Amino acid sequence: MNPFRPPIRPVPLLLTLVALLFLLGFLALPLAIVFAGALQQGIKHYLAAISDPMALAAIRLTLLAAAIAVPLNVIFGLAAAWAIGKFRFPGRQLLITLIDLPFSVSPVVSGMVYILVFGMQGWLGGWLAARGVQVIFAVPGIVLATLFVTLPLVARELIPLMESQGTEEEEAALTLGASGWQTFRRVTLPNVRQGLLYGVILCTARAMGEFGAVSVVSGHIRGLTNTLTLHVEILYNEYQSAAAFAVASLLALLAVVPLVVKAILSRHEH
Amino acid sequence: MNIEIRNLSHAFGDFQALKDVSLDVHDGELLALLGPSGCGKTTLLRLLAGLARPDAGTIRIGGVEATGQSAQARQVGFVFQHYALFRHMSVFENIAFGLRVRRRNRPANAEIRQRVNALLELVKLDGFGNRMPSELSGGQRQRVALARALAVEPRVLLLDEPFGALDASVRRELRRWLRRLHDEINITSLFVTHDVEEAMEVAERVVVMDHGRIVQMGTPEEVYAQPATPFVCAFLGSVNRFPACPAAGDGTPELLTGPAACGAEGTAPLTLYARPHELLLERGTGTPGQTVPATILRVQAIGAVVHIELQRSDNGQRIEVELSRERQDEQTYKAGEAVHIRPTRFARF
Repeated sequence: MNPFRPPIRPVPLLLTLVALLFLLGFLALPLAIVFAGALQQGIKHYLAAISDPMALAAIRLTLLAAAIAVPLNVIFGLAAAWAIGKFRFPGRQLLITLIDLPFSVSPVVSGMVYILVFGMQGWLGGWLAARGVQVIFAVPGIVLATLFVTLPLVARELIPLMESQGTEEEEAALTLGASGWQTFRRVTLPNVRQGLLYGVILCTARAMGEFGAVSVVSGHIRGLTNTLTLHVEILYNEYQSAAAFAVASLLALLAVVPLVVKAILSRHEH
Repeated sequence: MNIEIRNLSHAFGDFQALKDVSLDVHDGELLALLGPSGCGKTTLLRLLAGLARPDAGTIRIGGVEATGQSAQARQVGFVFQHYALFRHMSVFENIAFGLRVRRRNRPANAEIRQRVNALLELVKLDGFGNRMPSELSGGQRQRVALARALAVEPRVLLLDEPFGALDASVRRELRRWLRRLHDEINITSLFVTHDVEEAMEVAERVVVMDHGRIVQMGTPEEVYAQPATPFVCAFLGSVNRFPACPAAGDGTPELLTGPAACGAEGTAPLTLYARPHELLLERGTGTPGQTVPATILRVQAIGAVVHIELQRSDNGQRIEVELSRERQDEQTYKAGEAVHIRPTRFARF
């Protein structure tokens, strides 16, 4: 026991309690109910629901969309954050605003935009269809929609970080003879790795959890264009609530895994 | 290596930071760029390092054209005011950085270790190699930054307000140390400062800048004794201004008192600049034209020099005088006393 432990004071205690109660009521409890609902008809039923071929196809598609969206977002986020955080150029404010756009626009609207562009009646849809490329009601549309809604996540994490770190360390590296790439890899990147990691986790979770935009462009073709979120919706609408909860719990688990990975990694750091 | 700077200009948008600056830095010299903030001294240093591109003019380092060279190719050591140490690397790795990123003739690990340890010794930080920058004091960080810059054996060393972020006692200690270090390794060095005392104490030659131009250069003694412009005179230390009339021929100018104007033929008045220690106080009636009447406001007698603050009786102007301790002990000037001020030496513009 630490003999110098500060005395427990009422105000911090109260604030902590309020925060904890809030988290319990609005986060832990619903999650627990999801898992309880998933297991209400027994473990056998649970395993059957998530190993159903349609469910497996949905898992594959969700992971694929995330696997494409996350690396692209990392590249975009790093490039955008580097440009915005380290340089002053005309159009910088506009770029910041554009990056925020997917946050302010409803995902359904962004899905509709893709229909407008790539749908059969859209600007590019007919031209692409003539060349055998289908975007809407197909996997490319789902990947595009996922990319759109997750776009700001990595950049938003990195911009304030890079801005606050300034350019002096990079300038020092340059005067020491490092090339632009060496400076980026050895100085800039290590300095933002915590923020980058966090951005990747948020991006992964959002990519797998996206519903609105994906729902518009997917067409809900079972086994082909159904992601996990859409699969949950379909099951629920068909009154298979136990199966819906089972798939939902899987989705929740997928989102928790990156957070756990991050917690382990950042503990390792210190 | 010497540096030849010719007609260098640089603007930030509408602000002309550097206007047609030419300067020769001699091989092995320790030179101070001195001036108020915004005078263009840091801009000049960044142009020399290749961290910014001049709008016009040329830079030659060691006789080789460097104007278009990148910072990477220039082999110039740069020390930043806020150290700019790589925060995620140990002290050792910070110093080794310049050697590790080399594409050609990168030294072997054993040699890197040897050189970093030698540099740690040079900057008096042996045994600190495994510390992180955040675990060091400001003075220690700046010494690491210096060792890091020296590790790549730069052709010239540029220091941007190197002691600006440190507290006064550390600053004084570190600048003496830099002076000795320069005597030891003799690398051509330029350092930027707005601190007159620092420039005077450390540099062999001082370049005074104002509004993007060089206004004077010379040894600290020369610049202090013969300021080229009123700006230099006032920037280098406290100074008192006395309106006066030019005398016929080369004679001593006559001090003006009250609303009096210069001679009948309407000669333009001039201003005499006298430092506090170049003034004497006299009791009695004074000599018109050579002294001005004043009242002592405050006498601050701490240390070897006694500071006396006065107010002129004719125009209310404040005057600062410094006397030696001995003279004050002899004369015992007191607040409230009416005296006459006599400039013994002055600069005129």
